[in-house]
Amino acid sequence: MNSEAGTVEPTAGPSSDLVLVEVHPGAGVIDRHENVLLVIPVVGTQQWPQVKELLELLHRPGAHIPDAQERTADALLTAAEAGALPGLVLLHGLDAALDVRAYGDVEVTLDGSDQRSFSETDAPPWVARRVPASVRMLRVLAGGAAGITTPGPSPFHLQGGTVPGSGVTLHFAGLSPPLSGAPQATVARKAVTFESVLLTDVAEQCPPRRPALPLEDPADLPDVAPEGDSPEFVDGVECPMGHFNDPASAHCVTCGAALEWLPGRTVRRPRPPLGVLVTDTGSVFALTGGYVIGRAPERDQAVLSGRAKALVLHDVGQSVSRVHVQLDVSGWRVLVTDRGSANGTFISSAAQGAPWERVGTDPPTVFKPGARLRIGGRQLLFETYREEAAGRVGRV
Amino acid sequence: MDGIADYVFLRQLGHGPHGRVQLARTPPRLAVDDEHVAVKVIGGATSKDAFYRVAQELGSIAALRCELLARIFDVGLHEGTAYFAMRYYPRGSLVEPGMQLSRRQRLVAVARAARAAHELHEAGTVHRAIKLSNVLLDDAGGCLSDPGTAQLLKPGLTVTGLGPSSDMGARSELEYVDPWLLRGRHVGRSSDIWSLGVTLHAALTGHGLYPRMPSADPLVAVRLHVKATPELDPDLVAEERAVIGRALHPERSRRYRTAAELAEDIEALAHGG
Ligand SMILES: [Zn+2]
Repeated sequence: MNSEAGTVEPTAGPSSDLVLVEVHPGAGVIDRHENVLLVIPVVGTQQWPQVKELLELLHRPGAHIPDAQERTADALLTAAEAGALPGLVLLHGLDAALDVRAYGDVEVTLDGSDQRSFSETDAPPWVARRVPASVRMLRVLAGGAAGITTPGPSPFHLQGGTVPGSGVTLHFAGLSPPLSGAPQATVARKAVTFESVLLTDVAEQCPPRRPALPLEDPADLPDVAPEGDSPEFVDGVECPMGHFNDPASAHCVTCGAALEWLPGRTVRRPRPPLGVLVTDTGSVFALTGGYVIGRAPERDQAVLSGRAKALVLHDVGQSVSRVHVQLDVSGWRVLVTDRGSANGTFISSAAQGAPWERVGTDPPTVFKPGARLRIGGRQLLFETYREEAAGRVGRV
Repeated sequence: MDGIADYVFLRQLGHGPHGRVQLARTPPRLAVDDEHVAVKVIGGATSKDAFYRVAQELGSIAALRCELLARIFDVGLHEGTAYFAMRYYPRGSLVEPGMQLSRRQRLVAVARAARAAHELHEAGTVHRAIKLSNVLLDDAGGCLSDPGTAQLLKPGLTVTGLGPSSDMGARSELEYVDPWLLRGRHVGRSSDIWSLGVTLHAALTGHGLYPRMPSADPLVAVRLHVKATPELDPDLVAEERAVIGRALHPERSRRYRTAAELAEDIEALAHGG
């Protein structure tokens, strides 16, 4: 396991930032690719080949990398003869600060205000502006457009691809997804960074096929440690059915048969699961090895080294420490040690109303089947589901 | 949450303790014809290691190219949250079918889910999350969806909470879990066969096997559940009882040896009744 194994950055879910894009009906071209929005409000009959070329440039793999994109678009615009390219606006950086590049006869309005608007018809090839973060609305229309005619419903979405239109209005802030209403509006999510493994065509990278599961059940085989746990061998006794048990038990955990322990009859085998841990929300964890329990136990050394698994317990009041308490399995016993938690760990035997006793940091306390741990505001039960008088809480 | 990665959510399809499933428009990068996909967002933060385990597991399932298993298109990690995108089945699941289903149609769907589980078992995988809401309806009669990933994210985990479930009524996820797992035993063919037995019973009767499911305190609920005996609906006919009873046998070794054998018996019920 490498040093990064098991680390978790506790982060919130993906940001919910959305840009609401209204596409205004028309015969121009609106194109979204990665984090670039291209708006060409009007395309003349002779201009379609250039528009097509520009779209191909923008859609080329890697074109979303700003430098490559600027270079290609610049090259095209510089090379284009005057009038060969229609007026257009490139909006780049939907993921962060928005850069606007306007070319030719187009008009960009910020927050509906004339003073903050810009249009350019005479300084080739670009007018480039960074849009201040305070801007809440940006509109792109053809130069000299009198305003938006009543926008009709647009069936198009701009997650990606090209749709017809005469312009766009982007709304940046304070909007919830408009999916239920506003049929003419569409959502362009800010371009995001994520990791993805496409499984649509896995035949060629097909991982080696695993062997079939055994027909005999693991419960009926000599007990084996589950995957990932290094097996610890323990001395135990067999019931008449051959189930492997703690020599201190009076009855078989599996079938309930009485166990007769005779010295010299013990056998040494991998330790079976000792039971389960049940949390107060009903999650169940198999007790096949140690656990480090807390609000954020993943980076604890015992977890990183593979000696214990991480068991995360969340709690609204943060009454659970990041690393609160540790369970170790030793032979047939489960030992519990407080890890210096702020609010302490308490243990109670199974009997209802049994007192809570504080768990120390050293020596460890024996955690017996049926007993509960109180960890901040949370509780954890050690359950084996065998009929047996719960033992007293003991010290090692 | 309104989306994840490049998926924009249109509406929620369901949710359970393992995460939420959302309907989303298919991003062009998937290069599939489907207009919509079902995206499952896995609750809680996911580390890179855990994500790679999930991606590997789902990749090996996708590589089976088994038409009995709901197709998985994409698995991803976005700002610490993992998701995977599956084919969207507009006809819904056995819990909320988009149309009236005959007994035979329900049996065929469960039989196909059992065959799907068998394919997974033969490929060394345990599904771990077979239930009524994961049997989806398609042209061929049904397929099995949404393999369990929770245990890949939380090592040692056997049951993920008793939270709200998209499954029928107040029924808990718990009764789909082989009681042996609650005693710390390992998953295997027989634990999926148990889940198929519970699914079959629910598909035939519309309700669960533990009508008086105890609950308020999950610590008590789990304990009582393990000690409880499943009660089959008295209106089931003898043949149905026999099949369900064998899938749910308290001794794992006396259950069906394979999910394919269970599928055969369910198919016989479908064609006999
Ligand atoms: Zn025994």
